[in-house]
Amino acid sequence: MENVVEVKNLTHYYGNKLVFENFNFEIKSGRIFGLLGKNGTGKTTTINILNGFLKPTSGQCLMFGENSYKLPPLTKARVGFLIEGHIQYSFMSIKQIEKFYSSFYPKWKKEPYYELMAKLEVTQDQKLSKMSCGQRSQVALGLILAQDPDLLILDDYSMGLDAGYRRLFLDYLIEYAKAEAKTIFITSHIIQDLENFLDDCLIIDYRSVLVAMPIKEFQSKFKQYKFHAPNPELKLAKNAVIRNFEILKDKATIYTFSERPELEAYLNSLNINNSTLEEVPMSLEDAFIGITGKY
Amino acid sequence: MYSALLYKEWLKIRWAYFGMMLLSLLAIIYIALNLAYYTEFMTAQGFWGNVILLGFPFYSEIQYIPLLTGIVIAVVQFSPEMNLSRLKLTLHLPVEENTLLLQMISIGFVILVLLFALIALLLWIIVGIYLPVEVVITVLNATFPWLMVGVASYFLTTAIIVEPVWTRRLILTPFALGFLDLFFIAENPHMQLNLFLILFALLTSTLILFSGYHFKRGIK
Repeated sequence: MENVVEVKNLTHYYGNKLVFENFNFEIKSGRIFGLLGKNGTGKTTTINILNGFLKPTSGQCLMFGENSYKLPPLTKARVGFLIEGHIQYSFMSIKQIEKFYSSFYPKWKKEPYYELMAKLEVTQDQKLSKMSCGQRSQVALGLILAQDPDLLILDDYSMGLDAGYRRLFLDYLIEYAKAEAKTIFITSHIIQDLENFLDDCLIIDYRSVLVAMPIKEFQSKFKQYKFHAPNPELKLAKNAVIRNFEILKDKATIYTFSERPELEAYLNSLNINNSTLEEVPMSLEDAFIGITGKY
Repeated sequence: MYSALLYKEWLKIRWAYFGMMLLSLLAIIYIALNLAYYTEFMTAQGFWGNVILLGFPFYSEIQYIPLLTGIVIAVVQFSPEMNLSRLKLTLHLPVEENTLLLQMISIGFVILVLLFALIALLLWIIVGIYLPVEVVITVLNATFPWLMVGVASYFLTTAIIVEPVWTRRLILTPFALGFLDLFFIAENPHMQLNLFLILFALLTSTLILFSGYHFKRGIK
């Protein structure tokens, strides 16, 4: 399968502040790829580098084999870009903005745009500046669908949207992506919405990659165990077995990629009583918090 | 594609453009009324004598209008682009980035030139009604730097607005003010000087490429 995006040894600093170092990942054609991370971990920075709006300190980003910092117009036409906050030209109306963009894209299909607009209770002459955040998100999505790009880059599509609009956005996106075999690169701070949507995930923390694997593999391999810990001062360092550890009063929680026997052996080696150890199922959001921590 | 870009830019500019056009027309009407009044009471020769000997600038109402027009058009055209970094949307269009920026300012430039040409034409007609053609040419030569400063103020203001680095904006602003002041220095502008001013004004159009480059690099 062809690599649509390739990020190689990417390092970026803002002044003296390191954002990430030797960052590597690739997105294969037709996959839905989620970049997940807490606020300030570099999600938008990565997207800005990918779209050529930021020159990385070192390393390389390729989109369709081209250097992302100097994308030729034909390659840019293959990329649909949703800016964080569904930013669009708010001085235009629904009709004007469609007319404007249609001239730039040879594969332009206005039908999906107007189909989506028909669901909003607005006239075609309605200015975007007079629309709600949810309505603007549908305009931004409709424009991307009309562009018919091969790669969709969606920076925090969920920002400012209520549950209904988030669902509408994803429902449309899923239907479109599956039908047209599109590649999607998405970030969001509402993890639970992406549970049945993503194919692959990259979970990043400050300056490091925590997880890079298919989402199903992550959800099947990453586990949460709880046990009764009489000593509330108990501390377990992060290592190959313990990916994260939390304790609240006498309830200890371990997050791990290890199988139960390996975990039990490790706790026994530390003389920690784990007779009450039990696995607790997790949603994707639980797993995300488990791997990144609450703070 | 250029027509689509023209459409977008026009949507942003149009009301401010019509506003500045109205202001220019009011100034010209005021000049015309003054001219009619003075030539009626002083005769054309007497009036022109006063203009030459006493330096009575009967057309000075127009002096700062092109400067203001250039600034206003730049602000209404580029502020929406910089607000929430909408310029990213424009630069993501499938056109080479510098070409896009130059096309955007070429649109502003052309509509300014059209307005300034209208001002010059109306001055020509109005002054020509009351005074001989030699005087008309002298008036147009004298007002030419004021029109060109409108072009320069437009290019300089766009460069300042698009520039993402505040320190560079702070350096560009006094430079721009000093540069614009050059257009008001000459007391008796003539053809050669005006050709230099055209060159100066057009040179400032390249500044937006530097500001655009900083925006594109993500420099803050």
